[in-house]
Amino acid sequence: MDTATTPAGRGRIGPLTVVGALWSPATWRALTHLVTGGAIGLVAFGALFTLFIAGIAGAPSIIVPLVAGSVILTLNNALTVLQRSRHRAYLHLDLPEGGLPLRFSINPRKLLEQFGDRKTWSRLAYHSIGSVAGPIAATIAVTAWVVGLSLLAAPLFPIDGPTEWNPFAFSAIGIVVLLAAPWTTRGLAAIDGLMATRMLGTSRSDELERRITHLAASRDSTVDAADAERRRIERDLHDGAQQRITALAINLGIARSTLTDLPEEGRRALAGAHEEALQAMEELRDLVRGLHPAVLEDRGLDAALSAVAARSPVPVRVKVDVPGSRPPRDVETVAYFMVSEALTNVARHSGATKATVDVSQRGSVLHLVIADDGNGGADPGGGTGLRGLADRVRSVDGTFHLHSPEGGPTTIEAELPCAS
Amino acid sequence: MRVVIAEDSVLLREGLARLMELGGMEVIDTVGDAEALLRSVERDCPDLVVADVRMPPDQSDEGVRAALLLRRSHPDLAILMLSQYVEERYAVELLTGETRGIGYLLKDRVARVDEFLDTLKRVVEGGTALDPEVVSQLLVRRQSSELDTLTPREWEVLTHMAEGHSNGEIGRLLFLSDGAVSKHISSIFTKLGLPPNDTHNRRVLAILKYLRENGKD
Repeated sequence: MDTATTPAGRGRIGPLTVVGALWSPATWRALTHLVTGGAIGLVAFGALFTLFIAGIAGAPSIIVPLVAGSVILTLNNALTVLQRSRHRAYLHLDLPEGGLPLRFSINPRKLLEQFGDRKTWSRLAYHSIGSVAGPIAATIAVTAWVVGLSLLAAPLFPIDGPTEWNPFAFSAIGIVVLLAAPWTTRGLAAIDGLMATRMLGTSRSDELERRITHLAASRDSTVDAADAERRRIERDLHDGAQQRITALAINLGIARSTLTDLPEEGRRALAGAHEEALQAMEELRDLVRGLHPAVLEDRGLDAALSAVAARSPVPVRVKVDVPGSRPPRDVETVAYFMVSEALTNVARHSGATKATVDVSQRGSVLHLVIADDGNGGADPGGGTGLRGLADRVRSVDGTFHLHSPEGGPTTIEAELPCAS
Repeated sequence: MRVVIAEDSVLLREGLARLMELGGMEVIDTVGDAEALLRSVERDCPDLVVADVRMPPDQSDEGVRAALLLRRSHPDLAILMLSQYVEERYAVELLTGETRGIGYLLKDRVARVDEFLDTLKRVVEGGTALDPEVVSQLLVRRQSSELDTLTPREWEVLTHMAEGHSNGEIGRLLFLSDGAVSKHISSIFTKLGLPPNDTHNRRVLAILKYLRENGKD
């Protein structure tokens, strides 16, 4: 904010300041501000008053108040944009830039929605007050200048009349008025500016909302980038190292089967190398699956989940009911890793003899339930990967519930919104 | 025994070819996509096709679709499908109707050379070979309570049976006598309410049909 717009640069008022204010740019900007405000106020007063009266008078017809209400809303937005730019230009206030929707609609629901918004009313209040106070303030400011100058110039235009006043006394009063004029002007402008900041500016909740949207977007793009990177690494490993190590294992296997006349030492080494290669193959496959399983990418959740369940040492029963098109990729990924991690926990910690996985889509929500008949007592803070699960679910704005009393059974539920 | 290999990864293709030769087979052609596979079978009339499920141009299920076509046009051709991951839907599609000379394995099994050659032999001789993971995935989908009445031992026998093993092989794998295996099998068939079948392939078919029907959909 320009310091010159605060009413009378407090505490530092010397003679120079007082006189200097007469030709200070801030004074002239404030005057222009008030004059334009007055002009806008007059137009706004006419329009708002007419619309208001029309709306009241036409109330029985229903359509007239709807149209009037809608025009008021449109006008309200247009005036807000105009006033904000006026405050930015002349008072250098930090008000939001950019347009507000000027769509004209007489849909009662939309009207109600807008009229239900506090911001609509606070802006309308500014324009209503401004439509009366604006012209008044402009008049006061302009009058101060005109009267001051006229009185100052009194000795030049002697008036015949019964006055006994000395024309130079007029001049003296003129000087006082003129010296006061800049401060009146700037004071009035500052009051207007204060009102605009309160009533046309963004509220704290707006600001928070904007930041949340921004943060959510940047989180999504981080998650997406991480996912894309995992997919890329998976592809690279699959096309490169995995193929090569499989070929290596095959060749070692062939050598092991054919070179049977090697000395014992050599045969043992060959057998060892083959087993190592097989082990490496398996480890690499598990690693790749943990990064991003190809079956999930290619065939979707249903196929991927039966593979996960089939690998579980605890017998698992899977039911997937996801009709229609596939859920978004990130939701599928979260659901997959959630089931995968949960079943790992079941096998490691629960002591369960069986488990079930139920996945169903209701509306636009993917519902997951993983249950086992184990000992329960799972603790999300226990570092068993449960906290990781909850984090994954949160990354797609899902909800996560763990029910695991001592003695069991354990149920994990999650709901993942699939809105794309 | 004349073989055509269809696999788009050159490394794996060469490894497979060497393996086939080790198993005493003659590799008459190696191709990298499904179109070429169909042409090669028309031209050379092989006894066995070893094909990848995913192949160019779409890297989707070209191999399975080609195999289904070949199944109809060349009923005597033995087919072994290899896949990066198991998809029970494909396995079931391939095995629907006729289970003679068909196999569906994970690519990883290939590196267990001796086992792989045994499996190959089974398929070439007209048997079935289903990857253990296919069977366990079919079992994961079970909706019937009858399956839950099986004892752990019967469960194991059922799994091996569905993979396409013969009584003798099951006995060897589980260290059971032939008599014990037969007893378990008849108990399984009774519990699942399946008609007893004497021939091996019909038996596999009955089990798979049961698993499929009591699974999803």
